[in-house]
Amino acid sequence: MGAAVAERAAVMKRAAGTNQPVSRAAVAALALSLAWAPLGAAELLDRVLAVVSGTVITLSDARASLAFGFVGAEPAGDRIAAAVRWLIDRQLVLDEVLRSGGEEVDQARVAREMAAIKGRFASEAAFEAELERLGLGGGRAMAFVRETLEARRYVDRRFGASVEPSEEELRDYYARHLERFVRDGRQLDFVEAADDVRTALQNERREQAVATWLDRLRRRSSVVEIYRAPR
Amino acid sequence: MRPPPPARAFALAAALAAWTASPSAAQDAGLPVGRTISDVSVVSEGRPVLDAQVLELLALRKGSPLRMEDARATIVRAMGLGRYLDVRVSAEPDGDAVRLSVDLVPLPAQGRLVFEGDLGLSESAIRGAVTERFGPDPPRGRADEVARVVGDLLRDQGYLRATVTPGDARPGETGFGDLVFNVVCGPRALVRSISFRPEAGEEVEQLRLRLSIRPGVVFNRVELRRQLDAATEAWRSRGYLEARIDALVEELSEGRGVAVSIDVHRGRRVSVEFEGDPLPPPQLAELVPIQREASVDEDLLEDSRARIVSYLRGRGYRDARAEFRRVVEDSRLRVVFTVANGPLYRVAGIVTDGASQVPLRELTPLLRLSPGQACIQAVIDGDLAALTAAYRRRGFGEASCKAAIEPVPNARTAHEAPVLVTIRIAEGARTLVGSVGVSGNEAVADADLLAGLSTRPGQPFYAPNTEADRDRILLRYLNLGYRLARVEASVEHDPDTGRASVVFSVREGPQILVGHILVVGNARIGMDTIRRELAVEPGRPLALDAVNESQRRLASLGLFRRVTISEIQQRDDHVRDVVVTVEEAPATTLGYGVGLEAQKVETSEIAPRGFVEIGRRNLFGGNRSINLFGRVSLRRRTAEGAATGGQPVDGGSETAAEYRVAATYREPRLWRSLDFQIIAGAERGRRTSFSFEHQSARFNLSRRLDAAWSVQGQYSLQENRIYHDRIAPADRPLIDRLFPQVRIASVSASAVRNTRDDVFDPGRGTFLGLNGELALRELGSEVGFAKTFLQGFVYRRLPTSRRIVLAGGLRLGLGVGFPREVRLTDEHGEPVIGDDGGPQIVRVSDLPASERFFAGGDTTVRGYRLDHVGRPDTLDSDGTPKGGRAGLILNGEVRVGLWRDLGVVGFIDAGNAFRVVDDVTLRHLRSGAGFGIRYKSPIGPFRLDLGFKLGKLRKFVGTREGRRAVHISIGQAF
Repeated sequence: MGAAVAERAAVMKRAAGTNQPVSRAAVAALALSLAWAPLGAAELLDRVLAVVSGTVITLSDARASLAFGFVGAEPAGDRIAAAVRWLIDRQLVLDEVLRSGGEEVDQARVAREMAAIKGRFASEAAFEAELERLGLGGGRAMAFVRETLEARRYVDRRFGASVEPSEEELRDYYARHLERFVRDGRQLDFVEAADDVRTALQNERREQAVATWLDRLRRRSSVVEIYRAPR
Repeated sequence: MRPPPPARAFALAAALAAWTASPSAAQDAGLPVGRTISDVSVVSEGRPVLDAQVLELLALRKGSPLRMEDARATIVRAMGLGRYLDVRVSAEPDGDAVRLSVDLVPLPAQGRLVFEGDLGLSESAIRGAVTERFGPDPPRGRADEVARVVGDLLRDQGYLRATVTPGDARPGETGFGDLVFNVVCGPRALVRSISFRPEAGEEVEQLRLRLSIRPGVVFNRVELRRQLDAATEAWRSRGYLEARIDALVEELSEGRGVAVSIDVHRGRRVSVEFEGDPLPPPQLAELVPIQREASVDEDLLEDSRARIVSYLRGRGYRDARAEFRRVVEDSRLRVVFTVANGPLYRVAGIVTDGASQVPLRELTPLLRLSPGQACIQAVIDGDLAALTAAYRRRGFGEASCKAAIEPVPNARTAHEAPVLVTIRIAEGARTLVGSVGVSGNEAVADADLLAGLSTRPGQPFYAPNTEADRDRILLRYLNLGYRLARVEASVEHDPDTGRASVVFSVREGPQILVGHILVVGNARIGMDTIRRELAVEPGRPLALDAVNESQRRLASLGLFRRVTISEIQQRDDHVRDVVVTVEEAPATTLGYGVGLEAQKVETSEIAPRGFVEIGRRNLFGGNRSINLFGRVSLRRRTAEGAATGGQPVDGGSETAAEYRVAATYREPRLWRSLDFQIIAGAERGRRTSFSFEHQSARFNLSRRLDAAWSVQGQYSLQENRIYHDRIAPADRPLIDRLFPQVRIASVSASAVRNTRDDVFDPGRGTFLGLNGELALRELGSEVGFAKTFLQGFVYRRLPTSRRIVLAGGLRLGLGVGFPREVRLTDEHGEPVIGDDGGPQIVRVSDLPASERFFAGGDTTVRGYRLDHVGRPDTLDSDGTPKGGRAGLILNGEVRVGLWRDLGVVGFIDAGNAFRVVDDVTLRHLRSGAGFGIRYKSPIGPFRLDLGFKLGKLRKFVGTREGRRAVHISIGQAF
């Protein structure tokens, strides 16, 4: 799900509504009244970043999604924005999962994912310390991971099957993205790259379908973004 | 959590919380997790927050170690109140500890829809179009759609080049919550020319006269279409069913003008005729809907033909045929349907074949088809479905039923074709439930889950039963707080043994507990009043039935317009906060009115009257209410009373006021589920032969013990005074009964068990009531008595015919008056003077007239006038009822529903009023019997009963009682 973030951002901007950019004067004026300037050594522990159909998304959720690697690498300063977008999409999908009766993910799969996340940390102690810092101790981390997997599984199941592209569509895609089908400095011809072309085209179509679907979910849901990335 | 209203959503988008690039926030380093919290301050807009409900939500506690999950929980709970845009938790070092600040950023004010620029139309028209489409508060995410709707509106009104674009809020000019649209309407187009095709002709001239659109007027697409549609409809209503008018609009001069070209096609006048066998006129429009469809195309006519044939065959004319032909005559088109019914197929006999394991006597009552009826396929299909369902319920999962229809040889005529219907049943194998088990359950024992299921070993296997049982088990878990539970039923059939093994697989999921309970939306109603009604409690399982019960209780208070209960999920799967959102109903109601009362007794009178009623709920923040009613009438009254017989004396008259005031105070759950009520009233009125004043008060405590039982205790006090007395001696007993001339104060207790399915027209259940009343001088009464009243009613619907209800009733009243001394009065009400010159005093122990028991009338013993059933010692010589200290009424009735809301009844009643309790005996009951008609009106059953007295008729002074009596009323007799 995280792979479609960049495309998603463009789609989301076209969706307008709560994502409409606001004039700088408005930002400046309200920033004075709402912005919190750090005084001394005070620091912000947590706050609201967005509300999706009543579910609050907080700064600690964004930190967790970054720490667990669910959100792709972004330029510094945009990481929180990327995490917010990812969490909003995640929540929209989870609401759909609940509406459709739930999505089952077996415990072994969750455990494997947790192990993979743990592997990103230097040690077990560092992992546990991070969980404490994120407020995800006592099984909450596993719940967060399980829900994320449920959302992924739902999207995979719903958008997994795709229509086989035609020969013409494959050739057209290949022609438009030649630079992606280079191996060891050599341009692959269509026949050599056919499998990769098919996979890439199907993935692109799937991502577009998912992005369109998420757009529709966002339109019919109540999505309020409090957080704005600094300009 | 209740989401912020849509109006605020855009406000939230505009109301940015600038993200300052504080190193801590950006780098997420050095969060003081684990340090002791030295202080927690809660502020909003720079001011400390003192709201107890908000402070209660803090999961961060002074003296506890700082945990990030507590910070998040605090944020989620505070957001659940629906008042805040953002909640920020900040930390500042305080030595080795940490000082926390919780900043609650309130939601901004409600945003507006702002239309700026050159609107072209009035703002109210634009706003109205948006409101009609999107409601008063369009979601901000649909700003593009709103712009499109406004643009379409402008273009339809002649602004062909109009553009509408969503804009930005501007600080100082528009609010941050506003949704702004920039409108450029452009030039408004005028109609430059109108042309018709064909250019001339009768229909064109007719249309030209109808249209108000002319060259030079402003172009209005909507109005043009409306006028063309009206013209088309006018032609179609005159039989030109093929009429069609199309308009083509060409834009000219960069939107400043249009050329309108109108295609006119009136078509021929169409008529529909029928020949052959007649069809019922009410069905014609439905069978041949060419008028409604405004079309005579081939498909429609073919469908009509098929509908006619289907209609007739559905009524037993199995050989019915219908054809149609078009006949063109000049400007007329005649569509002629030729209908041939053929003979009516009538059922001569029904044979059932193949039933071996189920006795025919159990199947035959299911058939609606019977010999002599028309052979209607729908009825046969219904009977087959009923038989199949009966077999399936008995475990024959593969059973099927088919019907064969064969003509009776040599019996067919031109009008009738007798047929023999053979129902062939293929029973198939019967499956019984072999075993029932549950798997996956840990929290609830097998025995508990399996108890009460309809799927049981040895019972016939019926799939719908299994599905219902699955739902029962799931509901059990939901009511224990396992909100994510899933239950699946799997069935394994063993064809060798004919048994099915059923296993219910349970996935329990976590048991969800209630965290915090938040109440939102109450302004006047106190928190305690709301929380008292909640069946959910913090720390207890979040049970579905508890949530439903809470919602039901809050709604039944009558204090709220709307009540919703939702849940906030914390990160912890096992805990959810409950948010109770209420919308309070208006606290104060005011009603008033004026009127005129006209009556002619001795003279004509017109009395103006007025009334006012004030009600107030939520008194002192609780579920208390008070209601005051007052009514005043002004009457002109003769100056003298009885002496002049009501005629004015010396032409004098005066205006007197009649009034009635009543006050009711109600407090449910005053003490331990006891409901308390006070009703007090005072009335002054005038009747034809007297005037009266009446005061009363009642104090009532009641409690509903369960769905059926309720108990009540009451103290009541009433007092009457009669003046301007011109009462005829014959009327005095009735007046005394209605307006007792003694002050009566009593206490009473009653218990009621009510299981009737309908209060006004029960078909099932019972009503049992026992009441005891005691009046004593010590309570303030001028007379003392004790009374008890027992009543019981039973209603049963016959299992073989659901339209028939049997009803029975028993009422027994017993009373005794305590001895008291009263002045003896003559027939004129004047005291009788004794030998000693003073008023004669006698000792009586009778009940006051108002407290006695009477019998006779439309709700007791029908066939008799109201209250005119009695014994010689409870009736006067002229038959005027005096009542008695005991009464017994027995009733029996058969109620039969005939057709829709109409029904008939047959009844037999018996009863009597007895002077003393010792006289009560069944031998002395008088009885009546009769029949009646019932009609279920929207306000209750209308009742017309004709009752006949059974037994010997009595003779009174001057008259003999009639044999029958007619009773008309609303509501059942009992």
